[in-house]
This record gives sequence, C-alpha cells and structure tokens, in this order.
Amino acid sequence: MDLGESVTEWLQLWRDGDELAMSRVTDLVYRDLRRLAAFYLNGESHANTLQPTALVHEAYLRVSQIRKIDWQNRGHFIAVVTSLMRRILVDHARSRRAAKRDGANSAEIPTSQEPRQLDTLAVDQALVRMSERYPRCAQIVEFRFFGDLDFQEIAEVMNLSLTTVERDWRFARAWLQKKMAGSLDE
Amino acid sequence: MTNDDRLRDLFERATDLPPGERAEFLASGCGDDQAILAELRDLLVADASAMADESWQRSALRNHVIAEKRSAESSVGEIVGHYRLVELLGSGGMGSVYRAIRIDDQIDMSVAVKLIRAVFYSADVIAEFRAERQILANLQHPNIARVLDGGARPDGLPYLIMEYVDGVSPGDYCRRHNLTINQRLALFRQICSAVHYAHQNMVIHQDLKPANILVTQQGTPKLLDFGIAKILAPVPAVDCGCPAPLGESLAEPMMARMTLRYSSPEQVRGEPVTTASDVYSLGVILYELLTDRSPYGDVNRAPHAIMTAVCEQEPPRPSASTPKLSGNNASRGDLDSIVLRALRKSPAERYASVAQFSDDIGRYLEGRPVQARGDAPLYLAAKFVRRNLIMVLGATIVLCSLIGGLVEVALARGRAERRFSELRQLAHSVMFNYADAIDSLPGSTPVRAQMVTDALTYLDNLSKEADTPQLQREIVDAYTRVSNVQGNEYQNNLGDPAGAFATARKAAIAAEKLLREDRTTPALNSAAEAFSTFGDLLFSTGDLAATDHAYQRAISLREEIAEKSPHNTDNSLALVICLKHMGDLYGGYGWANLGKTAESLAYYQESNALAAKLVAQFPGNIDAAKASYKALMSLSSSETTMGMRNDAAKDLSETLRQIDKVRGELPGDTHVDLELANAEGRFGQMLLDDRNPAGAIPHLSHAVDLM
Repeated sequence: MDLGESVTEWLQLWRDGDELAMSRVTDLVYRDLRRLAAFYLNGESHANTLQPTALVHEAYLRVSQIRKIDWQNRGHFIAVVTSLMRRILVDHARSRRAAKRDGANSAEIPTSQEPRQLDTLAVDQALVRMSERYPRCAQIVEFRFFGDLDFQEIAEVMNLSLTTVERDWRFARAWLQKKMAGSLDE
Repeated sequence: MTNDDRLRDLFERATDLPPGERAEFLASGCGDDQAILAELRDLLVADASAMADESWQRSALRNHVIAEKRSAESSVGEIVGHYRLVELLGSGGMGSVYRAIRIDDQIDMSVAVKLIRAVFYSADVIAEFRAERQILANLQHPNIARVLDGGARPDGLPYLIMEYVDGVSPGDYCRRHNLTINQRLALFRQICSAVHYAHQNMVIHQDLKPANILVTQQGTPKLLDFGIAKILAPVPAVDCGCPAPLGESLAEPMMARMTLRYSSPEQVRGEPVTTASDVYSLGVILYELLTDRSPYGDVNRAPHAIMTAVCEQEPPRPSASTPKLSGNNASRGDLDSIVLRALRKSPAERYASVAQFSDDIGRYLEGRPVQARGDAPLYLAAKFVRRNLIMVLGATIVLCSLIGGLVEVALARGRAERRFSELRQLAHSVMFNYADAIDSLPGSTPVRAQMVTDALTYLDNLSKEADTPQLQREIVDAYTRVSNVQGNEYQNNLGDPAGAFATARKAAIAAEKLLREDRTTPALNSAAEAFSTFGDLLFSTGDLAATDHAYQRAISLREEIAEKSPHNTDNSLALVICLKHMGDLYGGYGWANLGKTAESLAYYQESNALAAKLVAQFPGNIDAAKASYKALMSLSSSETTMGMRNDAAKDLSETLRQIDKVRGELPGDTHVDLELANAEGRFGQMLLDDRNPAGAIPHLSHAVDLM
C-alpha cells in the first residue's frame, strides 16, 4: 500500500462532510489497488490484464459504498479496505469452488509447474477462529494475506514495532498451519 | 496469564532456541500440563513446515491472479465442437475468446470461440445465451462478424463460434493508413450501417467500443461480440452487506461489464438503455477517430471520475483540438455539430437513429447543410448554463441566487412573459455568474465567443423592450461586461477590440438613456462603469478628446455617488482609478497623451490623496492598498517629468514600501511581484540619473530577481 499521509487529511475532510475529499481518497486507493494488481502481472501475458482490474474494480465499488463509516485514521481506512479485499477474494474462491462442484467433468488436475497455494477459504475460516483468541495476530494475517501489506507497512498501520509484527506473524502462521492441516490443496 | 497467552509465550521462547534445546525447554516450561505440551509440539512442527512452505509467501491476491490466468490458459488445446482452441485472443470480465481451427483440418480456416468462464455459469445464463444466439444467428451483415455455431461443452459451459476477423482497431487502421478525415468518416459510416442493421433487428449492442471493432486489411470494419455483453449480463452480485448511498442505480452487473468511457450517461446511471445509447457510444468512437483523443480528456482516471465526466462534462468541440478539422471554411463547425449532437447527455436530444447520424455525415461529405446545426443556438445556450452550473457546483451561493432569481421571475411575471424573463435571466447569469468561472479554463474561448454572440443577440432584443429602469440598468451592466469579455486588455479576453468597442458604445448609449430616468446610486454606478469602459477603449483607439469626455462623465457620476453616500468604498476606489486614468490621458508617462503635464500631475495628486485617505480609513483593505501604490507610482513618474526630483524620490520610496507591504499580505502574487520589480527598476534608474550607481545596483538587481 502506497497511501500517502495525505489520505489521513482527506479522510478528515471527508468525515467533516467534504464530498470532494471522498473522491480524492477513493482516487488514491483505487490507484494503489491497481498498482498492486499490475505488479503481479508484470512480465506476464497481457491477455489477462482484465481480471485483476475487475477485482480492483469490485474493491473500489465497495469502498465507495461504505463511505458513511466514521473514519478514525489511515490505519482504520486501510483495515477497512483490507477486509473488503478479503471478502471479495473469499467470495471469488467460494464461487470458483461451487462451479467446480457443479461441473460434471471439470475436476482440474493441477500440473507440476503450478505453485502450491494456500486455500483462501480455509485461511479465512481459520482466521475467524484465531481472531477470538489472538485478535492482533489475526489482524496481521489479514493485512498480510488479504491486504498484501508487507511487515513494515503493517507495523506502521498498527503502530507496532517491526519485531512484534514478525513474531506475531510467525506464531500466527504456525497456528494457522496447524489448524488448516489437511485442508491445503483441497 | 491465560492459557492462550501462556501458549504464545512458550512458543516464542521455544522458537528463540536452537532446535536441539527445545525439547528440554518444553519439558521444564510446560510442567505437568500435557495439553499445552502437546499443542506446543504441534505448533512447532507446524512452524517448521510453514517455514519451508513457500505458499505462505504469497497473498490471496496473488493467488487469485495466478488462478485466473491458469483458468484462461488451460483451455488452449481443448476441443470445442469441431474446433480445437489454439490461441487465447483475449479475455474479458466474464469470458475468454480463442482462435480455433477445425479438427479435421479440411479447410484451413480460423474461427473465434468465445467461452464463458465457469465462475459465471448458471442455468439463467445458459437460457439467455440460447435465446440470444438465435438472434445473433439471424444477423447477416457484411460489417458484423458472423455467428457460425454454438453449443455447450460436456461440462455444460456454453460456447459461441464466430467468424474470425484478422484485423486491427479502427484507430490503429486510420493511423497506419494515414486516412484523411473524409476517409475516416466513410469508414465510420460502415460501422454505423452495421449498428443500424442490428437495431432494425431489435438488437442493441450496448458495448460499442474500438476493442469490439476490427478493420480487416481490405478496410472493412467488422463488429464483434454483438450482443455478447447482454448474454453475459447477470453477474453474480456479491452482497457486501453494506448500504449503497451512491444509489442502487449503479448496478454492479452494469459496472462490471461496461467500458465506461464509451458508455452513455444513461448506461452509467443504470437507466433503461435504448438505441440512443449506441448512438452515443458511436459518437465517442467518432470523436476519437477524428481527434485521436477522448471527449473526456484524461481517461486514466478512477471510474467515478470517468462516470462524472460521462454524465456531466460537455466535450470540447472536436475542432478545438484538431486544427485540420476546422480548415474548411464552408463547413467549419459542421463536423463539430454532428459529433456533439451524438454526444448529448439527454438521449432525446441525440440523433433519433444511427441512420440519421450516418446520413448527416453523408450530407457533410457532400457539402450539404447538416441537420445537427439547426438547433445550435438554443442548445448551446442551454449547454452553456449546464456546463457552468457544474463548474461552479460548490459555489452554492451562485446556484441559489440563480434558482432564487428564476423563482422570483416566475412569480413576479405572467406566463406570457416568462420566456422573455428566462432569457434575460440567462443572459444575466452568463455575464455575471459564469464568465469569471470559465475565464481560467483552457480551451474555453470558442464557448466564450459563442456565449458573447448569443448574449449580444439577447441584449439587443431586450434593449428594445426595456421599459423599467431596473431592466435598463441590467442591460447597461451586461453590455459593459460583454465588452470586457470581448476585449479588455487586463482580462483573459477574446481579442476582439472592435467588437469590444462597439459593445461598449452600446453600453454608453444605454447608460445615457438610463440616466434620464434613474439617478439612484445603482444606476449612477452602472453608468459610470459603462463610461469608464468606453473611455478605456476610446483611449486605446487614440481618440483622446472622446476619451476625455467619457472619463469626465464617469468621474462626475462617481463624485455624485460619493456625495450621496460618502462611505461607499467601492465607489471611492473606482474614483481613484478614474482619476489616475485621467492623469494618464493628460500626460501619463509611456502613453499617447494630451501633453498637458501640469493637469496630469494634478489628477495624479488628486488620485493619490483620495487613495491615501482610503488606506488610512481602511488599513486592511487590500484593494485600497493596491490603488494607493499605483496612484503614488504614477504621481512619482509625473513628478519626475516635471523635474520635481525630491518629491519624485520621496514618493517612489513610499511606493516601494507600500508594495512591499501588500506583497507581504499576498505572497506569491506574481502581479504584485511585477509591480515591485517595476518600481525597483524605476528607483534604480532614478539613482543612476543622480549618478549614484552604487545605490542603484541593489534596487536594479532586486528588480531583475523579481522578474
């Protein structure tokens, strides 16, 4: 996330009823999400550029829809965007799984070159349980896995030291790995 | 410490240790608690395996992108119907298009196969797909890629087989072949004929854009994906459980499949779509073909910004950015009118059909009068108001005064007079509320010129019927204002001094008429303003005697106002300026003047004395401060001319002090900087004349720095 400090200011204005500030904030967020999506496509085929754009588009729409939320600060804002990304990605994963189930002979056979992936739905479910016992760890995982923030950014957003974030992440990762054992590559 | 905290704490301490020492630590740390010991062991095993598992390095977003890419590519090589998919041509929101060849290879012919993505597959989609395919199969037109076949794969996913078009986008084609405007129009008309044909067959494309049109090497444009957007319409909406304050009309399915910059305003708003929508999209395409730019300027903006532009921003005339479009005098503006007619925000104001749109282009090509121009003046006027309402949105006061004014007019006058009143209101608004707003807008000059022409027409008609002093006064003000827009050297003007002069003369005549009936302060003020403006323009034509007369009239009116209302600051400020101008006229340095230096000095002195009084009275008034240093600087140069060296030096250094003060209050005002540079330059010059180069240098170098 490359949201500049100005976002906080704009959010402030927005909360105070300045509608233009809303446009500015969403502009910044949208640009940033796009940049993020484009980053992943670097060096890859151009044929697929539309998918991440569509994803960003959805995130953007949702950001526009929740503008009545009372924003505290930049961290809160990024947290909201991240939780939106999480919802979108989980929704996509769910519909993809449903399609797989419905299709008669469409079982996909992964090829050896395909990178192994964490199961988005399994992470999501495990995170729900984690947030009851280790809310801070769960938040860090959400930022990392769904919001694509790096540790430094997470530390800034959550106002924690980098070491704390890294230690929390290690614990959370082990905890989730244990909970999700057997659910990978479902 | 809770169990959760304890677990966490032990985990952290264990992982800090080298693996070999952990067992011992666990045994001592957990004590008799077998449950926590077991959990910790599991966690440490999980930690080790997660550490080695690179999938933890990737976020869900990245996984998503990989999955999408894989699902699109995985279909290459698949058999669909009698065809084998050989190449992914592109993929959009809901599906992908492949180039495919016949399995039997009997005929070496490629086809295009469109597949719907599994994610969006549902019984409804299939049903709609079948119905639509039948319609598409009936569309046989040389400029529409034909649908050859369709069906469902074994897994139930529908597909569509279409003619494969090997071509490039219309824009690329025009650039590569360096097509002339007329050739571009001819190409565009072929596209129109395809869209019109579809309309006759009850099919609305809804997604016309260059990406959906390919031009073959033979120069034949072909529409692709006809109606596919509709087939693919119902996107599974994902309920985010949030309120939608933007309005439900911004339907997500619509958003997901549209290409905003080619969409019509009604599409963007989620309103019912008719053939007029396709007319609009064609208008955008034509605009881009002619100008190589979008009617909305920068298209790399966030969706909502594009949406706002589509719904509210009136596109600039195509010829404004493309000189070659306005080269032909006879038809200058015709193309603009045609394109802009197709791009009207309201569907009802566009061409009624694509055929009419195309026919009008045909008339243009044949040099006959085009339909689009018929209703130009009224449309332009309406458009102007709308455009400017948007521009000053936020300046609610202006808006309220406009609405308030209209309501007042409607209430005060009978129905018969309403139109007249509205026109008057329009002219008034245009002159006073919006002229400033568009002053700084790049490319607004043609609009301003049109606005001035329209406004003058209204004003000339109004002035014949002006029967009340109030209306007469408004006319005087409006003429004065129009004159400034036409040719005031101090404003962003239209560079039309002759027009400005003629209008200012009308203002002065109207002012004389007004004064015969009305000597209230507002009337005197309007008339003085008119005479000053007229005087300025007379001065620039070199008619010094007439200038003198006009300025004298203005000054006497200002003095009359001052007598009635001595505390009218604005009037006093205007008087300061008038007196200064008189000084310029009589013997101003650097002006063609009457050569009466003594009188000139007297006017400058009077101007300066009044300004000094105002500054003393209103120390915080920046306009007074500015008027004061201007008067003082003029006085100083007049004194120099008269050989009054000491007075000149004293006044000039006072000028410097005053400008500096204003500059402190208006940091970054380049105009003030220039004034200071001017004064410093003069001061330096004066010191040089006094043979004091050492004293002059700091002033001169300061002047240079300021420039």
